[in-house]
Amino acid sequence: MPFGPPERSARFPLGPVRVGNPVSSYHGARLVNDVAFLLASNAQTIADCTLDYAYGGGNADVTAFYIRSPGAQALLVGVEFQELDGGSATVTVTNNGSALTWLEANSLDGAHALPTPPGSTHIPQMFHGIADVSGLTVGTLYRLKFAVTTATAATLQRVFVREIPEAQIAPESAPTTEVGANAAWPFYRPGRHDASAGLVAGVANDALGFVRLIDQIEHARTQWKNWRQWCYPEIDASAPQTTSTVMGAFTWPGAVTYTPSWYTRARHLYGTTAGTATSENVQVFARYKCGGTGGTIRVIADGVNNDFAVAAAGAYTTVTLGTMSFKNAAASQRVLVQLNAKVTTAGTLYVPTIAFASLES
Amino acid sequence: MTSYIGQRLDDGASLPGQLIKMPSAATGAFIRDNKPIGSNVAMALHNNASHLANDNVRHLAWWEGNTGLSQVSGWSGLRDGAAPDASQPADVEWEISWTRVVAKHFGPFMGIQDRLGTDGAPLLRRIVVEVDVAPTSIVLYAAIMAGFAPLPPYNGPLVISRTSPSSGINTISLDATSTLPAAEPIACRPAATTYGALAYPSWFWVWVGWKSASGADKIKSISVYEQRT
Repeated sequence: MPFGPPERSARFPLGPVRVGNPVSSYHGARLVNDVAFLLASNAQTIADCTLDYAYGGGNADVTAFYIRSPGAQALLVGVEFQELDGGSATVTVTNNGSALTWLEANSLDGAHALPTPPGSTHIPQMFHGIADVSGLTVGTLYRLKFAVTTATAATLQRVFVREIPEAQIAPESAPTTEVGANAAWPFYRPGRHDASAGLVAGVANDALGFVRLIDQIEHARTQWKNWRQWCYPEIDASAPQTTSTVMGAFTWPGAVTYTPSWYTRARHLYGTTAGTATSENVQVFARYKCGGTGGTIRVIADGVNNDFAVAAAGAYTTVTLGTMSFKNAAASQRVLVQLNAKVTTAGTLYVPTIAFASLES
Repeated sequence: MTSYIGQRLDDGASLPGQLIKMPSAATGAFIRDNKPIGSNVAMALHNNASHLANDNVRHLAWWEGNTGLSQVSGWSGLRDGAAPDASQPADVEWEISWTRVVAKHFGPFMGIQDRLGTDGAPLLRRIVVEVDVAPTSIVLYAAIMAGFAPLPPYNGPLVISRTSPSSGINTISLDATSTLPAAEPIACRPAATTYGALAYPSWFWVWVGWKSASGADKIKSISVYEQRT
């Protein structure tokens, strides 16, 4: 029977789990609930990209990267346009070049022109669609492309991508595709053997048993990702870029060359002091184009340089740059992220999208 | 505990809690049918679930700018809004129009309400807004708005902050003091599924605004993320 995953974790004390005390069904029940919260309610926030003022409008492709988490069945995608009287554009959102399977396309399938908000108005107007991602492979990188075709000089303002939490899960009916464990297990049975009744080891691919719970907790560790991502139009005039052969700041769409300081909270899984803390490992993805003989993208995390070489590419290309660490030992697990770049010999390096996603193995 | 998070081993450490690595679920040799699991196994499982609930918090948005700011409140010239007159309350959220020349907005986000309120109510996780400012004379605003639609904060923020920032990074912590309102339904399953087709997440938006008195002011970057208190 399907059940609704809790909206939050339980304030469960460890005191009752004492040596010498029976460890019985209610421990399993609490874990069933918390696993459901971790995988079905605590949905990933994928991307929220506000494009710069200076992007001049017109046709544009914008890329956001996405890796499905095991609990997600649907994805919320959306756009906003800048205010302009009489403006309109079509937006087609695709996944690795193929049409998305829509639950509600709401005209993000390119079928209809989307009107811009009237000029000199100030209430944002967003268009959103809901895609079915149940067929996507968990853990695989996908490229969500927002292709904007403008009938006038409409200017894309924002794009966003979110996983949608689950209302109900039914692991007992489809244990290999549904997250969580059967909420009807473990059960309490009055009698002589009540302490052990219903306790089973089980297997990972069945919906009940402690082995299933261990497997699901592992999913919450390895397959749930914290995303940090920004994206710009894949237009040479609008993408962050550099022509310098000396490592330094990007030139941003507003024609300003500087190094922004971004902050995020690093995930902390292991170690209890600054000396023993294991940093969050993240995988870095980018869309880029580079002339000459290629270039280097530098990610500076709390002052530590992480250099990723990119080959020459005549068209915008998806690349997995590699892995790096976000330190989590600072107060509030706060980490400073900055970006620099250079070309190796000549040409221009453009980086319209870069994304960091947690990587736990 | 300040959150709806279970107790963890090493809860008093400088970096509270950590995961306990377990043997592979594929073996599970330490668990046997119809035998109570050991308290050490139970503690590790509960600890791990609690720690992941604590640390699986989400980054929300980054933005870069660094262009000069308009020296306006943003109300002038609007077709669909006007500054409140003197007879109306002079609330903070009415000091600017929240148009895109004086504000940025991020959302909609699904709210996770697992922060513990003083009366026991579950509240939205702390939202941290970090703004890199090059000010001469600027007022900075940050607010959380509830709902799926992007309504400017003068419609009634869940929480709002007004600061006169210093040059450099300014960290603003937004702690909502009331729960998000009733959720709006949204499709969350393929149409063929016979259960749970609509979810009811509670949505929210984060707004960051400014009022500049000098064309030399700049907002150089904005970061928004969830944080534990």
